[in-house]
Amino acid sequence: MFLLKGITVSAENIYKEYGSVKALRGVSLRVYEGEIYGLVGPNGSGKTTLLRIIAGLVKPSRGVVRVYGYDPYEDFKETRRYIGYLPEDANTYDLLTGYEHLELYAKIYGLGEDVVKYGEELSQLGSRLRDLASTYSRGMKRRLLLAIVLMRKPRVALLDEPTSGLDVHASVNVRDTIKRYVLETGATIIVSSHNMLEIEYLCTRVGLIYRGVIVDEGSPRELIEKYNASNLEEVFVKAVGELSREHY
Amino acid sequence: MNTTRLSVFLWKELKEFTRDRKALLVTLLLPPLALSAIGLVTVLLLTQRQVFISIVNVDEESEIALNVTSRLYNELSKAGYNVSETHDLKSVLRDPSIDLIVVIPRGFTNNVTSLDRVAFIEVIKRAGISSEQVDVAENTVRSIISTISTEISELKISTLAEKAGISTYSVEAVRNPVQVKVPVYIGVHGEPAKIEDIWRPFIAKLLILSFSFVVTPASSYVIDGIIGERERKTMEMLLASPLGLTEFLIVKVLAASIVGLIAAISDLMGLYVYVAVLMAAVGGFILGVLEPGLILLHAVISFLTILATTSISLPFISRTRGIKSASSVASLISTLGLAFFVAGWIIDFYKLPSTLLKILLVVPYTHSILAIQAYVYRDQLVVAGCTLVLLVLSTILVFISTRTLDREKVLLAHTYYT
Repeated sequence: MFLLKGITVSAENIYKEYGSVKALRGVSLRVYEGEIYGLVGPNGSGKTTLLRIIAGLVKPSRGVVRVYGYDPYEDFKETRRYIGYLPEDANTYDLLTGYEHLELYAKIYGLGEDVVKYGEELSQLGSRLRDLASTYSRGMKRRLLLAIVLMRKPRVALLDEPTSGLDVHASVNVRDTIKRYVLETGATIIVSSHNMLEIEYLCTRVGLIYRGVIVDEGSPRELIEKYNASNLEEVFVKAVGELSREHY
Repeated sequence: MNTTRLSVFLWKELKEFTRDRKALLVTLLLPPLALSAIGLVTVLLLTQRQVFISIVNVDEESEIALNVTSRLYNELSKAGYNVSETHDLKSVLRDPSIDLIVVIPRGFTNNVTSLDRVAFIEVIKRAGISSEQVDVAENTVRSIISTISTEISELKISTLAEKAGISTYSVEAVRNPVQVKVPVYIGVHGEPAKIEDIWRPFIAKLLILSFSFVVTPASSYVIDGIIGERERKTMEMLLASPLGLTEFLIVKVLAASIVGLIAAISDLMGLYVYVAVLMAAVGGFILGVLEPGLILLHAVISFLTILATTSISLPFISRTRGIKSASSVASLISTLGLAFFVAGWIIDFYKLPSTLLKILLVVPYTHSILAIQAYVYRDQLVVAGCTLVLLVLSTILVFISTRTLDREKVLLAHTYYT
């Protein structure tokens, strides 16, 4: 087992095929400790597949992925203590209360009451935690799920579209929670989104993913300067446009 | 495998079940309530169905024929039948409302009073949908005629004896010199059978038939547990947790089996009440012969049968994309179970030739049937053997099922998001 100092997540030349569909076509990236890395791309670009591969849920067809030196798929048990994963459209159990959700996941991870307490704090749901999750709004559910992922302070948190489908207030709340978490714990976050403005606000580094390939990478400022654009949306259009001319 | 994680997740599954009021109602209360209500309605309908009997006397106006007619009329009326009396056979034959026609034919009186001829009374039955009550009515007619016949033969024999100067005689000894005694029931080891021994085979058949009620819902619970969890989008976070796939699937199978067992007990209670109500209507009594040992064995075998069913269906269900295709797969497996349990109602598997039985033992359901039937024969060794085999087989099946799947297959099941 090798350990790259400072690098928490590395992916080398990752391919993933589902039958004839090529979801990823040679993705490589390195994410460092304390970094919020943003994966930006339209629907169907390969963000979810890449996050699932890093989470150890899906096996790459080719290539090597390491999380703290471990293969997340093969060394599934070992990597659980490092990784926290929030799927894009994850949902709650209607017949459990918010508190029971926190308790359930804390027990599954073999953790105690202090973790549940931290989860309560992160969720900011207050007394509503005692209500059944079926009574929660979409924003409340997302906050609860984010709290479940972050309450045990994973070293690597993979957040797939964490604000997808949320209203402005709920989105701001979720983004603040993520920022606060990184400041408090120094953990690594990989967040996927097709909302470029969100990524620009949250991330220290961004990977532009399009049709299963990372077309460019850098900090939002670097990318904006490189493409002489006013924001990341423009950067993405220009980067993809150039790629289309070169390769497609 | 971590038992703490298993118990935590299983507890969550059962907590959800107990909070689902609709599921509780359908699983626990509906079968006993619905089946007892159906039983009561059936009894009510049975009592409402009227049987129409017509007595046709075509033997002119002889006193004996009139007496027999009047006797039949009075006793059948007393028994609650709608009885009419006529001389016109043709019109009665054409009347569809008449279920049973009793004809006292021409020459009946001559025959009944002679010493060298037998007098026949014709019984004509109209073919219909519900013939059970007409059968009962026919038996009543036969019983009345038998009594009349005995009385006439008593008269004839006593007259003949008097003429022959015989003073010591028994009418029964002349009429029916060789008779079969009422059958005596014995137990498996030759001891006199108790009422429970006589009823046990019927109850065992009932228990075997009730297995057919558990195989279908068992698959549904697994479908809901796995496909439902995938469709409700709660599965992915779990699979990414230390719970892992094997523990996830084992808990789903166990939870389905526990809920299935609860449903099985509830179904059995319903079935029992249904049969008890029907039997009470005809003067029988079944609840008094409930045997705790047999009921306990049924519960254990039900659980293992569900476990085996869910284990068989698990790899197929987990790979299917949606509830519809999963249900199709599950229904195939349920049909196999259904066919076996209906066969178990009719066939004594315990007494099948061993070569044939050996082949059938490949199917787990054979063990379920055999365990219950062997209990009837007090063959504790076979009961224990079948239970053990079923337990081992279910465990192996669960193990194989979980090993044939991986996280990706269960999570994506031919669909994916990029």
